[in-house]
Parts: sequence; C-alpha cells; structure tokens
Amino acid sequence: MGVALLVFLLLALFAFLGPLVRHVNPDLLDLANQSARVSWAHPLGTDETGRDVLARLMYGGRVSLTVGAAAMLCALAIGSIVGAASGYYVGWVDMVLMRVTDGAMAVPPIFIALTALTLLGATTAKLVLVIGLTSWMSLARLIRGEVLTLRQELYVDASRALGAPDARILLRHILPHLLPTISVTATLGVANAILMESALSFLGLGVQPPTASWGNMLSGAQDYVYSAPRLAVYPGMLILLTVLTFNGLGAVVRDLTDPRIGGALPPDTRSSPASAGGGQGVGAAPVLTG
Amino acid sequence: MMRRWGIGLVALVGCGGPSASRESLRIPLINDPVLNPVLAQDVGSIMINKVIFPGLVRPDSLLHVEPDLAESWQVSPDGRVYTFHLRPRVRWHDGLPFTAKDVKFTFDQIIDPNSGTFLWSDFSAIQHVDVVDELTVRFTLTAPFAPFLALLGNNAGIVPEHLLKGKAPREAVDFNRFHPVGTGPFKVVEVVPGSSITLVADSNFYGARPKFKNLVFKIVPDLSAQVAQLRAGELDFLTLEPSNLSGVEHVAGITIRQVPVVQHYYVGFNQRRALFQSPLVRQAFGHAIDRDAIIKGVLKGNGDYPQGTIPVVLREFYADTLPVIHQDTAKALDLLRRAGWTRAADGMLRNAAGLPFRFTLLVDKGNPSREQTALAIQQDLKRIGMDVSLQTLEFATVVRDFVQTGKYDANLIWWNTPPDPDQYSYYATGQPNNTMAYSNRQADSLLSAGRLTTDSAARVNIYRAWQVLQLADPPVLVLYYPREIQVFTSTLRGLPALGIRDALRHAESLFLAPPLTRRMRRYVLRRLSYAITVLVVVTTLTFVLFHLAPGGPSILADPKLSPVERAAVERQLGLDQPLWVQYVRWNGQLLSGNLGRSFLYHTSNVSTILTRLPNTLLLSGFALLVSLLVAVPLGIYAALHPGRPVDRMVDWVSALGLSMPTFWLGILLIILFAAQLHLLPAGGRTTPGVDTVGDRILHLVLPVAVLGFALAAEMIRYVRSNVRLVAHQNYVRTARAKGLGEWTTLRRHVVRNTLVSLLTLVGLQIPALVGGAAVTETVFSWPGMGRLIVEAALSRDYPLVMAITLLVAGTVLSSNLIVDLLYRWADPRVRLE
Repeated sequence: MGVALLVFLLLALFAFLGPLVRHVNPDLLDLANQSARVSWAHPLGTDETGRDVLARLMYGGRVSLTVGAAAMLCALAIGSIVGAASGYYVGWVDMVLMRVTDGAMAVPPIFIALTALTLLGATTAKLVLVIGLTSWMSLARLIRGEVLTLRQELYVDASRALGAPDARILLRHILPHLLPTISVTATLGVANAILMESALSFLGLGVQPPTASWGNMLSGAQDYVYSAPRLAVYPGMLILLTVLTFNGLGAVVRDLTDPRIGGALPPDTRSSPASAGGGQGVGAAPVLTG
Repeated sequence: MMRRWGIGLVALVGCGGPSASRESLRIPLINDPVLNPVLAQDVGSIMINKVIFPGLVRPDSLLHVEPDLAESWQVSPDGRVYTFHLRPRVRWHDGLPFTAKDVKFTFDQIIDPNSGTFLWSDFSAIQHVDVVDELTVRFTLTAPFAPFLALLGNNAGIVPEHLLKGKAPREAVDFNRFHPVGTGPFKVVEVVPGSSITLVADSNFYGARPKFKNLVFKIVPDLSAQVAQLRAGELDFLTLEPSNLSGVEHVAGITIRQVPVVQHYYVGFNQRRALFQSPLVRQAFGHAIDRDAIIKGVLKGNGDYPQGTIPVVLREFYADTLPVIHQDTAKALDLLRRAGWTRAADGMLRNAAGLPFRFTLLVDKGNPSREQTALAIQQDLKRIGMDVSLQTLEFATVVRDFVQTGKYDANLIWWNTPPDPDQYSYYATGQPNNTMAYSNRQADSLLSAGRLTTDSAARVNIYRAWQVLQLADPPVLVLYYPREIQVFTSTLRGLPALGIRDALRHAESLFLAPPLTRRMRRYVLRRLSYAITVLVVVTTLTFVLFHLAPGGPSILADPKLSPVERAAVERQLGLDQPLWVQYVRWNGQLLSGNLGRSFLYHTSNVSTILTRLPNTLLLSGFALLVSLLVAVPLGIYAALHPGRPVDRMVDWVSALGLSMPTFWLGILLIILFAAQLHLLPAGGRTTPGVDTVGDRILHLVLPVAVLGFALAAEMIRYVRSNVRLVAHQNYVRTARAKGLGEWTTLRRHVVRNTLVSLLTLVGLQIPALVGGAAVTETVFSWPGMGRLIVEAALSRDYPLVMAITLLVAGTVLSSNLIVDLLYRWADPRVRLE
C-alpha cells in the first residue's frame, strides 16, 4: 500500500515537476546527435532524431498521465450518469440505456477507438473523448446495480415522500454510497486509459508527434529495436510502472473505502495487490485490447 | 359416494401425467401387430418389426444403403451373385449367436410362395441362398436385379432359424404374437393384446447402445385419440394426416415436421377400358386437374408437386429439369379433342358416337384427405364436361373386389415403394401390381433395363428417360408426392429425417433431450430477443458513426477523383440516397447474409474475413489453451497455499501481465529472441517459400506467448479467487469434517465447482478469439482479424469495418448467451429471474 502511493508520488513528481527543474526542450531535434548514448547532456541519451530522451519521458509522462486522468473522468461521467439514470428510473429508460451499454460492450473497445479516431482525426482531445467513450460501460453496470438496491432503501423512500426532487435524492442520498465503487473504478480507469493510449499510439492513432507521450515514444522506438533497443525499454518500463501503481492503488482505495468488498474472502486476499483483479467485477485494466 | 368418485378421478389424473415417462419412448399402433417380418403386411407390423428385426443393410439418412447385420458385400461382375460378410458376435435376444444360417432360413421362407409371406414379390429374383461359412452368405439371383440392396434394407428383417425351423411361418403363433426374438436394439418383454407391446433395450445389441430404456408401442386405433394422448404427454411420436394437424399446431412442447417419403399418390385409369386407352386422354387429365389446389388446400402444403411416378425424395433419380404440368383446361380440352372428345351443346364431353365421357372413381373410405382430393378431382373434371361419379368403399374392398379383379374405371390410390426407382412391377406390361393394365413397349424395356444394370449413372439416365416417356404416355395421373407429417414431443432427438418406418431402423439413436422448462424457454427467448435488440443497436450505431462522420463515407473514395467521378462512385454505392434509404437497404443486405464489398480489397467482405479468421483462431486458440494450462493448475495451487512462494509469484507475475502493454512485451521478446538470439522468427505466419509444420509452429511461439501471458494473468486471478471462495464454503467444510481425504475433497468439491465458473471466463475470451488481438497481431505481422480491422480502419474501408464489427458483436452476444445458458445449466444455484 505504502509502496504504491510512494511510486505514484515519484511518478507525478517526475512528470510534473521534472520539466520545471530540468529545462530541456523535448521536441528539439539534434540531427547531428542521433541515437546518442548516455552523456551528461543527455542522461538517457537521445532518440532517433536526436531529441533528449529524459526530457521526452518527462513531458510524455505529463501527457500520458493527463490523458489517462482526463479519459478516466470522461468515462466516469458517462458511466455514472448512465448507470444512475438506468438504475433510478428503471422502466424504459433503463431498457434503452442498458441496450446501448450492451451494444457498446459487444464491440471490442479498440475497434471503436480505431474507427472513431480514423474518422474524426486523431487529436489529443478527441483521443481523451474516445478512450472515455469506450470504457464507461462496466462502471455504468456497477452503478446501476447499486442504485437499484439503494433506491429501495427506507431513507430514499422517506425523502421522496417529503417531496425531494430526483436530483437531490440522487446527489444527497445515493451518490455518497457510490463513492467506493466510483473511486476504485476511477483509479483502475487511469491505468486502463494509459494502456489504451499506448496501444492506440502504437497503431498511429494516439497522441500525435511531435508531442511526446509514453505510448508514441514506445511505438516510435519499434523501428529501432535492433539498433537502439533501450529506446523501447524506458517508456515501456514507465508505462508498466504506472499501470502497476494504479492497479495497486485501486486495491488500496477499495480496501480503504468499502468494508463490504472482500468480506467473504479470507484476510490474506484482501490486502495483497492481487485483489485488484479479483472476482468482484471491478476488474483491472482489460487485456483484451492487446 | 360422490367423494369416492372424486378421489378416484384425482388418482387417475395423477398417474397419467407426462412425468412418468423419462425412460420410455411411446409410439402408437392402430392394431395388434404381427411380430414377424416375413409375415408382416400392415404398416403397424412393419414399423415394430423394423425395431425388433434388423436386416442385412439399412437406409441411411439419404436413403442410401448402409451396412447393418452385414458388414460388407461383393457383387459378382454379372450382377447375379451377392456375397455378404456378416457382422461377427451378433446375438439374438435369447442370447444365441446370429449366423449365416439364419439369413438363409429367412430368405428360404421369403422365396417360398406357400409360406404366406408378403415379401415374395420383392425377392422373386432370388434363385437360391447359400451358407458359405458361419458369417458369409451368398445370394444367387436369376437375373441381375439393381433394387436388390434397397429391398434388403426395406422390410426384410432376419428371423432366427433355431426358433422357427420346421414350422410354417403362420404356425409360429407364440413367436409371431407374443415372444418374437430378433437382433435389434430393443427386445419384446411384454405383449398385452389390444393394449401395448413393451420392449426394453437389449444389452447385447451390436450397434450403438440404445438411449431409451423402454420402447412402448401402444395400440390406439383412432387418430384423434392419438392426438389427445400426445397432447396429454402419453405418447411421444405419431404420424398424422393433414386434416388432424389443427389438433397439434401451436401446442407447447410438440414439434411438427414434414418428411418426404418414397410414395406417389395417383389416379389409376383402368386401361382395359376403351375410355382411357388413348395417351392423349391420360395426358389431358394432367392439364384438367388443379393439383396445386389439392396440395395447398387438402394437404395444407404437406406434399410436393409431382411430375412423374418417381418421387422427388429419390434425389438423383428424380428428373428435376422436366417441364412441370399445371392446370390448363384449354390445353386439356385440346388434347381431348384430338382424342375424339368434344364438348357438346349441353357442355358434356362426347365422342363421335355421342356418348358422354363418364366413369366412376373409387376411393377408400375414412381418410378425409383422399376423400376431399377425390371431390376436387370430380369437380375439376366436371368443369371440362366429364361425368365422374365417386364411389367410397373400405380400402380392403377397393383392392380385393375392384383393383385386383380389374373391374373398375379409375381409382385414387398410392404406392409406398422401397427407396429405389425400380417400378417394373407397377408399370411394366402384365406385371401383378400393374392393375390398370398400362402397357408401353418402351416403358417395358426401360423399366427392365433399370433393374438389370447396377451402374448408378446408367440407371439415372434410364429413369430419366422413363419420366420423359411419361410426359407423352402417362401410366397414371400422379397427384402428389406426400410428405409424412411427423408430430412428436419437442425434446425427442436423434430422429433421422426419414419416414417413420425407415427412421425406426435407427431406433437406438433416439433419445429425449433434457426438457426446457417453460421458465427456461421464456428465459432463452427473452435473452435471444434481447441479444437481437443489442445487435440492432450496434449496427445502427456503426452505421450512424460512418455516415455522420465529417465528409461521410464518400471521403473514403480516392482523393484524386474529380467531383464527377466522385459523384459516380457515390451513386454506385448508393451514397446519394437519403440516409434512411441507405440504412434500410443496408439492413436488407445484412439480413440476406451480404456483408458488402471491401473498398480496399475489392472482394466480398465475407471472403476477406474468411481468409483471415483461421489465422486468428489458430493464434488465439493456442493462446487460450496455453493460458488455461498455466492458469488453472497454478491458480488452484496458489489458492490452497496462500502466502506461500507460488502464491506470491502469482501475485506479481499476474500483476505484471495485467499492467504491461502487450505490444511492448512483444517488442521485448522480438529483441531478445529474434534480434539477439536468432532463435525465433520476428513475425509473419510462415517463412516465405517454406511451408512446413515446424516453421508454422516457430512463427506461433512468440505471439502465443504474448497473448497467452496476458490471458493467463487475468485468468489465474479469477481461478484463484474462485477456488478461495469455494474452499471456504460450508459444503467443503462438511466434506472435510466427515473425514473425506484432502485430495478427494479438493477434486470433488472444490475443483469441480470452480470449473463451472471457468466457463464464464472462457466465454469472456471468445470475442478475443474471433476479433483477434489487434495490437499483438500488428506487432508480429500476423495476418489475422485484428490486423484486418486495423488495416480496414486506417484505410477507411468502411464496408469492411462494419462487417467485422458486426461479426464480432454477433459473436460476443451469442457467446454471452451461450455462456449464460451453460452456466445456468451447470450451476443449479443460479436462479432464473
């Protein structure tokens, strides 16, 4: 638990404070100095066009983390609204929303993302939107399930009887109970979004050059795997570390916020990092995009 | 008194329910059968004998001959000697061995006209039958006889010599009525005259083990009573006339199907009568009678429109290119005029002597379809001026007093023939079954040639010529080829699509599927309709996405096109139509199975997908297999040894697997194994120019490893947490507490219950199996579905993208459905809501 938080802080410092400390332009080409090895000027060497790898990793981290967080927020917004509306209003609203949810789930996310980005054009903003649009479904289902139960609670009935509007009931009486689910999903969602961004970058539809992201650095490095394999190693390690960290944090958040989850399990499964992908339906980053 | 009655009724009703019948199959007969195939004549006896007494061969589901009691056979070059090698170790129901002597004994009875057999005419070609050794028997025929094998597979069941020797067949009353002994899958254990015959599965049966424990033939003479019993769950199978159909249509739990049978229904014209001697007159009937109306109105569609005497079910022998004759009264009158019959002033058809065209049509009593057909014929013929009177008599009377004596004008009747086109005995001059005295030299020579050659290609030509000949000189007016209407308990399975008599030759394969309860059925229907709705949502969203994208699908066309050319392309693709028209058109295409054509490959999307799908299935299939092999044992082990090294390792390795971008892992492996160590190829499916299994396997190793790792990482956690949950259930604690060994507890209670949930897991991966792994396939240049969607999306090949999306969505939805159903089937705790 402590480890995950620590690594998270280190990664954040690296990506957000690093560039403030070390003023190197990540996009500056230095064609005289291509694929240079480690030096004082370039602690991690340069890439195929002579750009400073360390700087690109820092700036790329900013982009990747931001894209991940923003996409997660986007998914969270859609998922919560759809799930809450579906669970609260039941009837035909539920019917329509759930069919759309199932429809979206029936198509592998990478298909939707690929198609949408090809058609809409790949900009960072659209990337965020598209990742968000392909990863809200499981949250919507979880939320719906919980709201279905919560709406039958006495205190909800009571406030309805007192004439409270739906919005107030949802925000005041239902939302607080959803926070555990939402926060766990949010943490795991960042990991998922970062993986998705890197996969899309690899296919040429992620963050567009010259802007660096870990994903497009990794995909750019593929052409040089034989001459400069280290170019693929750094961003890959960082993605791996970040995703691991967020998956770990997800478990931590769950243990902190929801005493119910894991209650049926013997204690050893609860605190280990392994429970991130456990059988609770919260799910870790999907591997099917791979 | 009243109360007692009430109780008695309740008891009666309570016993008759369908629940008692899980182990028996119940089929009705209309009378007490003769349990001896040599003597059997009526349909019921023939049916039950098919189950008790197998023959040397039997018809398969295409009505072609397949081995039964004979394993193999040879035919001498002159077509006269058939040598059969019998199946070894076959036992009679009384336990004695079946041998060649039984075969000889049976056929000696059959070819003896004094034995009282009805099979004599079928086998009159047999000169003698010889036992070569215990398991070899040789038939010598007087002349080559092509239908011989088909006839052997039809009604010629083999009877035991050791029980029947020295007696005339009719005298073996106890055998024929109560204690028959055959070699079939079921043996008779009890006969209650007028009520039922009970058979049980014979454990000595040489074929597949019968699935039903009992087979009960119930005597139910009346067809409506049969229907009532089927509805009450007291019968499982029956055949019906179209007029009885309404009693079983739309009844839950009852399935109706039509099976074409080797029969032709016809009106026979006695050609001893001058009235019918002209072929022109007989041709005219084909044009005068509205057979479409009869099939549609009387048979309710349960028949095929005829051309000649060879029914359509004989497939290769049916000449399907001949002109079909439909009602055309002008044509009919023209033909009759040429034969000397014209319509007089009173509307009657008269000849030169002024005599009217007048005759009597015989039809058997009690069968509504045939009676109605006769009425329809009478009316159609009256319309062209013929005076037809109907005479309805008992079937036996019709045959005995009129048909066989030749003293009649015309009759409505039918032939049930063996599954062979041979019709010599019905339509050759002077043959016993040619009761209407049809005579045509050319027909005689064709029909006899068809018997003499065993070359099936030659026979096809011969019987085609026979059907062509019938256009000019029809022997009879064929009315229709009926389809047998079979009505049965919906859960009955294993029934070949054959008429009941032939189907019963496969009685051992019949079984009842576990019944779908009404709730289950409702659930399945609901889920199905729901899956379809979702599919419609997906197609609509895909469609809208493409058509509302900036520029629409037309931006996909080559940017170098001039506006005129672009407009042409758009017109060709229908893109100039309003959106809703395109949508409707596109959906219409989908429904007809057309997934469109690719812009990129200029081929149909279905064929493009089919070239890629096998590659993806290969890769993903192996990956799934590998991941299961790793995840299941390790997951179980880790769950049972929490905190131990393996458990910890599982934690970390699977966390890695879940967090690692798959393409990065792919790249790392390529660097290591391909670039540095030169052990494995970096990508592709094969080395160009090399196509060996070894080479293919080498190319599979890395992609399978990458994909398998990712899958295993997910699965292993699932397995582990499930095993942990199960291991703490009360029933596991109970198993341990009662002293069950640790290993047995594990196997019986823990692992088995975990495997059920594994179903869900595998189901979840099925989309990946079909959709392919876009990224992994790209890293390894693997030409699969994943790569295809990337190529299609990047090149904006929108028809292809839509096709793949649809296909994958369809697969996902159906696999979800199947997994759900399997899960409910496998885990009784899961309640249907």
